Amino acid sequence: MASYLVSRLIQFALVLFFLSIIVFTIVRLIPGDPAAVMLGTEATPQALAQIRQEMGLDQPIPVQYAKWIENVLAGNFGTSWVSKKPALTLILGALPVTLQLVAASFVVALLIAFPAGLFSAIRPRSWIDQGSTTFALLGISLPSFWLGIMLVLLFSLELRWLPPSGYLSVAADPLGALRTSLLPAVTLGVALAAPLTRFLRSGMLDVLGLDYVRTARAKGLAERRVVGRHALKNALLSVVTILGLQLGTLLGGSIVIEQVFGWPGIGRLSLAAIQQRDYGVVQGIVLFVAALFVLINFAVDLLYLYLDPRIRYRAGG
Amino acid sequence: MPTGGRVIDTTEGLPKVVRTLLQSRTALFGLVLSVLLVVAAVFAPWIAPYRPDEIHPIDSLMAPSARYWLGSDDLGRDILSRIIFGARVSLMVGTIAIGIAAAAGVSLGLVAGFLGGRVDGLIMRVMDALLAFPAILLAIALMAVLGPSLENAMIAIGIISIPAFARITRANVLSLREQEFVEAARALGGGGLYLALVVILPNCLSPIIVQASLGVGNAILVEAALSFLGLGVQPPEPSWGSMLAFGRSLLGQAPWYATFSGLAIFVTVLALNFLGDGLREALDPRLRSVERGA
Repeated sequence: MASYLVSRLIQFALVLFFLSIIVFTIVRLIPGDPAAVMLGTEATPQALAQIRQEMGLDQPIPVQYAKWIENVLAGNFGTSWVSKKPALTLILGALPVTLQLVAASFVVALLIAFPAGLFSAIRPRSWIDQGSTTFALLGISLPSFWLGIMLVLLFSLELRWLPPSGYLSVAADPLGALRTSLLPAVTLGVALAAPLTRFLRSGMLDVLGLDYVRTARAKGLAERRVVGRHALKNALLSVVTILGLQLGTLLGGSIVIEQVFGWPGIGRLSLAAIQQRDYGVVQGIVLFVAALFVLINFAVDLLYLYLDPRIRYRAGG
Repeated sequence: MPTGGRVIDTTEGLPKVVRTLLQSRTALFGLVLSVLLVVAAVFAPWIAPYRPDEIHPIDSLMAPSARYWLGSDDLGRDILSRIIFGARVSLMVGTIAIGIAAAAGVSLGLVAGFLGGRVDGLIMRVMDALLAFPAILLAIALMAVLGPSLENAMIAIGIISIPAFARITRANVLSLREQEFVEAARALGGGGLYLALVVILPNCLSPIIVQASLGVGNAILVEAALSFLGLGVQPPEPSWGSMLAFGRSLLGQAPWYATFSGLAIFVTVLALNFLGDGLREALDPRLRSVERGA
């Protein structure tokens, strides 16, 4: 088991290393001189040279990368050249907004996918099964930003039940936050619920056809117990894997949905940074989100190890 | 010349695939709709009632009517015509981006799977690193580097779609590499390039085709998202994503604008996903193994 963990850790470190090179390269390739962007068109060549020196832009690329990595490892993700604040401060300021959206969407997705996936697997070919399969097919193809706009049209502009945009922190105003979070959470939650329903249904169908489930039924166990205790536990394994992967998609989706509902999260911060050519912040955000995604998948791997004794056994052997 | 590569008789396999595809109602629906979309895109100048940039100032923000079937925008341009011309943009971005991704991803997957060792390790770690980014975030970062335009959207979406093709190709090459027909071709004197391109690659095509058909739908969604954020195709070129973004700002006055622009994206992606799902069923590996044995 220890050797499995070490090999996963080495893989994790390697992915992070390549990821950092990709982020660094992308941001260095962004057209436009950041020094010129900072000082404007009136800047003298001397002032430009001085700023470039201060920012380390006059150094060779490998030296710039080494310095950047050294800073990142020390928790310094760079500085915003627009607001002069540390990039990490800006990211951590916007992160709770994005996390609130992701968490609320996650809850919505689970509330939809679990009953839909379970019931369609228990009653295959029933109207519930057909309904949830159709939902999953439609949901995968649905552009979430369009769904959000349509929900605003219906629930905010027509029925006037919910606000069309705006963000309230759940810590500051729980009830207000519920009202402002509902539409964005449903928008993003449906996008996650669609693939989740599919996975849960197929996972449950696979497990329900296995011998040990037939044995459990033959022993006279109540159907609820067979499904809840015996089948669901094993079907959840495949769902845990897909949840880890989908969390990254959820983080990406939140960038667009924050724009639709005017939430000041990581998505809005990154778009503003790109428009202002704020290298430090763009670099920080991309690295931060990607590292977070890799970390989540690493955590899912560990969770999988805990949930599935077969992997534990193989890893130990 | 070694003949070990000819394991699938396509003359016999293709009708079987088409038959299976046509038996599925959803796949048939997807196929018909996809064909209609391609026809609409190709013949847009003859099908669309107006030119996409034809301005009628007195008909600004008209609701759907006999004159403007899907209404008009703030400049009095016909929304239906813009959606029909927008299909050109979406389908072009989708197919070219996936073409780029397939060419690069299949090559990388083939090299990684066939050579193995350090080359495999290096290629797959870079692919893992690319997969570590949420796709839309990487696309946004690439668009910031390349600048917003139609061509750059194709390149950015192509790059983010490479890892999926590389992984699928590599996985198939790894399993095929050890099979008897490859061994036979090698024993008959087939060189590395011949084995990779003529013997192994044709046998990896089914999952690649399925990935491509599903990938086009996804590419269209990403392009629409990029254009919606103002980073993709730039106005006045009609793009469904930028039309949706503009329609959103007019939601109170002209709800039909955002509704129909988004509906066009939804129906197109749905059709391509139905078709992709149908292809997946038709090109099932078990079916291929039957053909291989035949």
